[in-house]
Order: sequence, then C-alpha cells, then structure tokens
Amino acid sequence: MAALRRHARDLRTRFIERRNPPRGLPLRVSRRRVYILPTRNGVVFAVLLLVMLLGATNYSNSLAFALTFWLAAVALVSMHHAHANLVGLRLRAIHAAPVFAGDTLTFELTLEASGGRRRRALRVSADGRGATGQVDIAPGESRIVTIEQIATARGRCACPRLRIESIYPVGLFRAWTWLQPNTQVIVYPRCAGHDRLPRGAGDTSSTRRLARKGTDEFLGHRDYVPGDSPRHIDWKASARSDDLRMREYADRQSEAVWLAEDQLGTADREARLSQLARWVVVAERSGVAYGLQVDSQRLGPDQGPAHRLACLRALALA
Amino acid sequence: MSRSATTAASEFSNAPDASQRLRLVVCLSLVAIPHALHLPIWVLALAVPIMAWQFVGALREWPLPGRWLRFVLAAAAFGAVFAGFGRVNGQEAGVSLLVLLLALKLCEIRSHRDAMVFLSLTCFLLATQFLFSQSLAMALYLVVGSWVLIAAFVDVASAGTPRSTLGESAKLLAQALPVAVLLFVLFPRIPGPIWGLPSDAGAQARTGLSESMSPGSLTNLALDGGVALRVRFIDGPVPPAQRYWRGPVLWDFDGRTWSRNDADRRLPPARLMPDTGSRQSVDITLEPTRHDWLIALDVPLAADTPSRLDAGATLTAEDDVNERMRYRTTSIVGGVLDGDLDARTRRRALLLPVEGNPRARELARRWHARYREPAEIVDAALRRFRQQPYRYTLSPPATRDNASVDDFLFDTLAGFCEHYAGAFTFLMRAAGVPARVVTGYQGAERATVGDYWLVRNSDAHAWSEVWLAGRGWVRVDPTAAVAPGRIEAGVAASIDDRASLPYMARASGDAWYRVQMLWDGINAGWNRWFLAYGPQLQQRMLDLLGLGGGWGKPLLALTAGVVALLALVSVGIAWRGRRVTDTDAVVAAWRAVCARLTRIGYPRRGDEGARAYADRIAALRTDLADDLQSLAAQYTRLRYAPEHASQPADRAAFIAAARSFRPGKPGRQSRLARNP
Repeated sequence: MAALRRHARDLRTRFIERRNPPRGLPLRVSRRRVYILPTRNGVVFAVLLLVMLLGATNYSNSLAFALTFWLAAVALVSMHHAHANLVGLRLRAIHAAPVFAGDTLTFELTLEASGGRRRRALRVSADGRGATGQVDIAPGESRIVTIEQIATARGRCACPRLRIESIYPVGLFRAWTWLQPNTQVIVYPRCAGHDRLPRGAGDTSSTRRLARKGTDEFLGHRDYVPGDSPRHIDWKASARSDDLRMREYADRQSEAVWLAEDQLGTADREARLSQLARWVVVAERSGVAYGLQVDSQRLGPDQGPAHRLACLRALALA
Repeated sequence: MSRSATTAASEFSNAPDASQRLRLVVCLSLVAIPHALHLPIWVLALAVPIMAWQFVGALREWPLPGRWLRFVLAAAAFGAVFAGFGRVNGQEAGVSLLVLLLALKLCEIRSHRDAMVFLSLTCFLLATQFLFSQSLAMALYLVVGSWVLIAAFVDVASAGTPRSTLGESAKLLAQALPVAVLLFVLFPRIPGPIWGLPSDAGAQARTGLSESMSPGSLTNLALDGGVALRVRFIDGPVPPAQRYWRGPVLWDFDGRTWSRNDADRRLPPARLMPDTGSRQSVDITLEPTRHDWLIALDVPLAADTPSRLDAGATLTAEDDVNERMRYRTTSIVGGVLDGDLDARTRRRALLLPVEGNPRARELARRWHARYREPAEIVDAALRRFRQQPYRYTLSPPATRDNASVDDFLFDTLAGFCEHYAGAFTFLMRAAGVPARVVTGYQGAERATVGDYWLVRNSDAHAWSEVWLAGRGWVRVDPTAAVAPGRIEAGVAASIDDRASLPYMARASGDAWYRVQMLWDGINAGWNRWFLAYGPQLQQRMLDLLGLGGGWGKPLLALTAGVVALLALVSVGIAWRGRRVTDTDAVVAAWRAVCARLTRIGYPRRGDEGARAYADRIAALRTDLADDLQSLAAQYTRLRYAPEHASQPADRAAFIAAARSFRPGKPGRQSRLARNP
C-alpha cells in the first residue's frame, strides 16, 4: 500500500515536472496549465444538491427544482471564474537574499495581475508548504508575496516549484497552477565551528599595513557610516559638527589573516567549509583584513561587505 | 505595490472572524424568516434567542460556547422537537429541527469548513420553504435567498480580502441563470413521489368542501372568497346552467348531518354510459383539499391522472390532494348514470334514521300515496319550494338539532343550498324515491386576464340526485326552484343579503376587483407554466421542441446547451479581462512608443526593462539614441520614483515627447548592424 502510494506520488511529481520545466522570468500562467477540481466542500455541496433534487422530485416542487438547478448552475459558472482567476497571472520577479544553510530562505515573489481583472484570494505556496495568506491583486498592479523555506544544503538552491491556488469565488472548486522559475539562490555553508580565528600569518610579503577600524592607536576623526559601533562616536566632536564624528583607531593586529581549508583538522569537508564561513563572518565583524583560500581560488586579503560576500559565495560553490 | 504578511497558514486555517460570523447569523436569519409564518411558536421561541445570542456574541466577540454546552443544547433541541411533534422526521418536525440545529451550528463555526457546511445546510433550509408555499412571493424570496447565500459563500471563500460580496453574488447568479433555465426545462424529470410524502405534507388544512354537510357548513364556505379551482374549457365554455362541479356524494343522514363514510367504498362503482350525452374536456387546476376527491364537471367519466369513479360517480384520486394539482377530465353532460340500480346501492339511497322529523315524513307519505310515478313526487316537492314563501339566504334562523328538516320545511322557510338539498333528499327517501346529496360547486367566473375560469369557495353548492327508472340518477337542484338566479348568475345575484358575501364573490367589477383578477391571472399563469412543469408538461414541451422520444435527444441537447452557455460565460470573463483598465496616460504613451518601435522591427523582449530596451535600440540606431534614452529615463523616473510622479508638468512633458517620437524605418546600415 505504502509502495503504491509512493509510486503514485512519483508519477504525480514526474507529471508536474514534465508539464512545468524550469523557465526564466517572467512566467505567465497559461490557460493550459491551470488545473481545477472540486474542493471537499464542493463534494459535500454536490451531495446536498442531489438530495435537494430527490426532494424536489418527491414533492414535485417546482421552486425546489428551480433553486437546485440555479445553485448547480452557479457552481458550474464558478468553475470558470476559478479558472479565469489564475490565467494570465504573471510572476514578474523573484527576490531572495542569500542565507546560511539552516536559516530561513525568504523568496519575495512579485505577482502581477495583467489584464483588466482583479485576481482574488490567491494563495501561494512552495508546492503545498509554507502557504501565504490570501491576497488580492488589483487589475494591472503587482504585489509582493513571500514564501519561506529552510535552506538545507549549501550551494545553488533552486527556487521551489510554486503552487498558486485559489478557491475563489465560492469555495466549491479549487483552481491551481504550478510555476517552476529557473531562479537560483546562493546558500552559504552553515555558519558553525568553534575554532578560534587564526592569528595573522608571518608571511609579511602578502600582508599590508593598513589603518584598521580596530581598538588601539587613535588615528583621527571621520564621518559616521551606518553600521559603526556607537562606542566609537566622539560625542564632543560631534557636538561641534552637524554630523556624528567617529574616532578612528589603528588596529594592533594589522596583519591580514589567511583562512584556508588546510588549517583545519577535521576530515569532513562540510564541517571545514562551515568553519571557514564562520571565520569569514567573525573576521569581517572584528575588522580584520582576511584572505580566503578555497580549492584553487584565492580571495583577498581585503575586507568590507563585497569581500565578505565574495568569500561566502566561493565557500557556497566550493 | 503592497506587501502581504507571510503567514504559515495551513489550508483550512482561515477561520471566520467575528464580523464574518455576524454575517452568517444575518444570512441564516434572512433565509429562515418565512418559516416563522408556519412553524409552531415554541420553535421560534427557541430559535430566535439562540440566533440573537450568537448575533450579540459575534458583535462583542465573545468566545464560542464550549463543547458540553453545545452538546446539551443540541440534545435539548432534539428533545424539544420530539416532545412537540412526537417525532423528528416529517415536514414540520424536520424543518423545525433543521432551524434549531442550524441556529446551534452558529455556535461552533470555527473553521472555513464549518462555515461551508453551515452554508450548504442553509441552502437546504431555503429549499424547505417551498414545501410550505410556492406562491409568486416565494419565487421572489428564492431570488433574494439565493443572492444572500451565494454572497455568504463568496464571503467565506475569500476570508481576509474585503470586497463587494453582494455584487459578486448578483453577477454569478445572473451568469448562471441561463444554465439554470436550461436545466429546469431539459433535465429529465421523473414522476414523484419517490419515497412517499410524510402525512403532514402540503399546506395546512384549508377551507373547502368536507366529508359532511350540516346546516350552516356551506354557508360558512360561501363567506370564503378564495379560489377552489381554475378551469379551462377545452371544448368551449358550457352554459351556466350546466356548470355543476361534482364533489363528494353524501349518502348518510343522522337527523342533522349528511355525511360520507367508509361503507360507501364497498358499493359498486358508478357506471356512466359514455355514448349518451355530450362529451366535454376540461382542464382543472385544483387547490389542495387534503381529501381524495377530484372536482370535475358533472358527470365525470375519466381523468388523465390515476383515479377512479366511486359509487357516487365522484372522481377519486389514489391519495389526498395535498398540493395544487392539475388534471384533464372528460365529462358527459346529460348522460345516463347507472341505468340499473344495484340492490345494495338502492338500499343505501333509501336509508333514513328510524325516527325524527315526523312532519316531513308525514308529508312524504302523503305524496307517496297520491303519486304513482317518482317523477311526480319530485315535481311535487319542487312545486312546494316554488310556491310556498321559501327564502334563499345566507343567514337562516337556527333549527333544532333533532328536527332540522321539520323546522326548515314548516317553520323557518329560509335556508341556503344545504338546507334545500338536505330537506329535498330527506323527503325523497321518505317517499321511497332513491336519492342522495351531491356537494360541489356551481358556477364559474371568467378570468379577466388569461383564458381560464375561476371557481371560488363561495361557489360551493349542494344539490340532490334522484334515481328514476330508465333515466338513472337525475340531478335535481331544489335551490334553483327557490332562487333560479343562483344557477344562472351566481350567489351574489340571487341572495337576499348580498352584503355579507366576501368581496370577491360579489364580482362587483370595480377597480380593486380588476386588480385582484389581474393578480389571479398572473398567479394562474405561474401555476400553469411554472409550478405544473413536471414529467407530463416536460414531455409535451420536448415533443414541441422536436426532442421527443426517449431521453437520448434531450440529454444531448442539455449537455450541448450547458457547455455552450458556460463557454459563453468563459469568453465573457476573458473578454472583460482583456480590457486594459490601466488608464495611466504615462504608461499608455510609453506603450505607444514601444509599439511604434515594434512596427519598424525592434520589438521589446519580455525580460527587458525600459532602460535596457532603450540602450539596446540606441546601439542599433544611433539616430534614435538620444530621444529614446531620454524617453526611457523619464519614463523610469515617472513610473518608479513616486516623488516625481505627482508632478503634472513632468508627466505632460513626457507624454508630449513620447507622442512626437516617430522613428523612421531603419536604413540599410542599421539593418546590417542589427543582423550581424
């Protein structure tokens, strides 16, 4: 029985995948890709209509016939509304910020209601998981909905198969469609590991003396940049100026740190990459210039957000 | 652009909020209102407080009652219905229970699913209204009820997204109407009932003919202006003197009351010679009587509905007529009924109480001694009514219970048709002439709208039949001897106290009368074409449409029709969706620019933004580069930087620039550049 169920699920997945190969944005919901089935409540309603039909026949009651047929006709018409509610919907953009494995990946989907129809009571999910609430999109407008997913493994993470569904207008039929965008998101290695950040290496040829935003010798003042620690604001100097003034120090540990896989003893590659990811984060946070060597790639030494991203990206794709 | 909050909502978690519960309470109340007219008062006394409680609860956002309270209330509802009706099924008990349980269901609507089940059952409740009445007013109510219900469905299905649910509901119903009409006309109807009607089915007891007749009973009926039956004469209207509508025949007399009893059923059925007299076909729509007789033009031969003639030649259906019924009868006017009288029937037709009314018996005995022929005795009696100062009145003086015939014949000399028919039949039996009382209606009034005639309860009448050798049962109407105008012109023209008749029975012909007749005409059309639309009428309709003979053709036509209508609806929706409602002039101007570029061979790719597009074309057509890039920059700023979009001057400038942008066809060089 379980095997049968698994087989059925596989068949279903294969069917969906065959019908919806990954495609580039923007994706438009086409007429032939909208599926529709009665909801459980729709089945209950159908049974009820049957009972009403029998009752009307039994009592030869014309008004009861009229009501039964009218409700049945509304159900049939609603099926077409449910279908048309999805057709022509466009997925215009997907935005997802890279995260570390194990964190929550948030996909921001920009849905656009093309044409002159309001799109009603849409619900978006990653093929059934993590459904959003119901949203309406006004004609010609777009709306961002977010779905969330736990990033399980590092590397390129494909956008999950999206299921857009709606029970509009009367809840008797559910129309749905699958969209498979080819968008990918970088997932960094899990940020983990307990090893201390290595000290600056003795290899002076590859290090540079640079003024660093550390905690030692006072170098002078500069303007505040968002993200600066409030501890280093020079309040007296700031009072004399229109802007906040920061005190700048030279770091005593001014030699760059090299982060490389061979510094780590563990045999598990993922654990090593996790430790490197963590070092990158720690090094960036503590204002140390750092270089990364992974596989044959050498990055840095440098620091700043762009360098951090480049390093993490290299680790993700290693 | 707006951003929706992410919720880890599962499929059914969009539970109705308080305002939605409020709307569900209102929906149930609206659907249940007409039931207040016929359900017992105690059911209302239970249901109304529960609904009021839930209304206030939803308004104040009280939590829903707990499981035990709900269980106790549901058990109490069952108990109350069982105590009140002695059962929980059947029409009134079932509907009462449904109303109570739906009111209680309001207390446990926790999920989308609960709300949907509640609404489905409320649809069912709406259908039960029509068991009690199928008037035009109820048809209007069907529309209102469906409108409210579908709006509630829309409301529940779109939880959390506010909208004009009533508007959507009206739209859905309007689009569904043609499909519904098609289903109504073509969906195969099978003759009911399938499982038999509960004994309390149909309307409540109505005024009308009953199984007995005592002084005063028809007088009361004469005060009811309600319609008893509507008739259509297929072979042309019969003359007024022949408009006798035969109802139950009463054989038994107990000194005061004439009645019909079960012993009558054992008598042999009446035999009507079909080749005597003239044949008349009449279509009759009978209002519910809750009795088994079918009224027909005197004397009926057969009807197109399952029925038989009983011993009194009354057309009798298999079951009580509990709802309006339409049938076609064939009657023989002036035919011979029961040429030979069976001995048992003869005994029945002569039976009188052992004693009572001695003066009438004495009179009859004198006639019996004086005349040899029964026909002479009949004449003697009619002569007496004609010559003595008998009065035809709605308000005769009271008579004693044990001597009603004596008092009427010799003292009061005033009465309504039941007095005359009863006394005459008594005299005939006492004089040895087999006789019986026939009740029914006499007269008919032509409707002012529509081709039909009305017979009202106020036309109720009683007359006698005597059996004469060689002629069979002969109708004798003693009332006609007293008030000849009664037969020709109706009660209103012949009664001495006309003002006590009901308004409609007086047939005054003034404006209000005409309005009433118009309304009756509309109702008659409604009854005839809508309510009576069943298996028979459907078959006739199908023959008319050329779809007769088996269910194959109609079903095919139905399927094709429904599919075609739904396709029309679908196209309609798509057409509406095609219309671009984005009337922003900036967008329209930019689209026009893109369209112009497309025409000269530079279509915009689906993934290109305005700037990327402009840059690409600029590289191909350096002559357009400046204008195009400037347009793209303006467009992007107007469109995506909201603080500029509000400046009308910028918008106007962009629109003007876009309008004047008229790119020429690409030259040879640029074409080469485009296709390297």
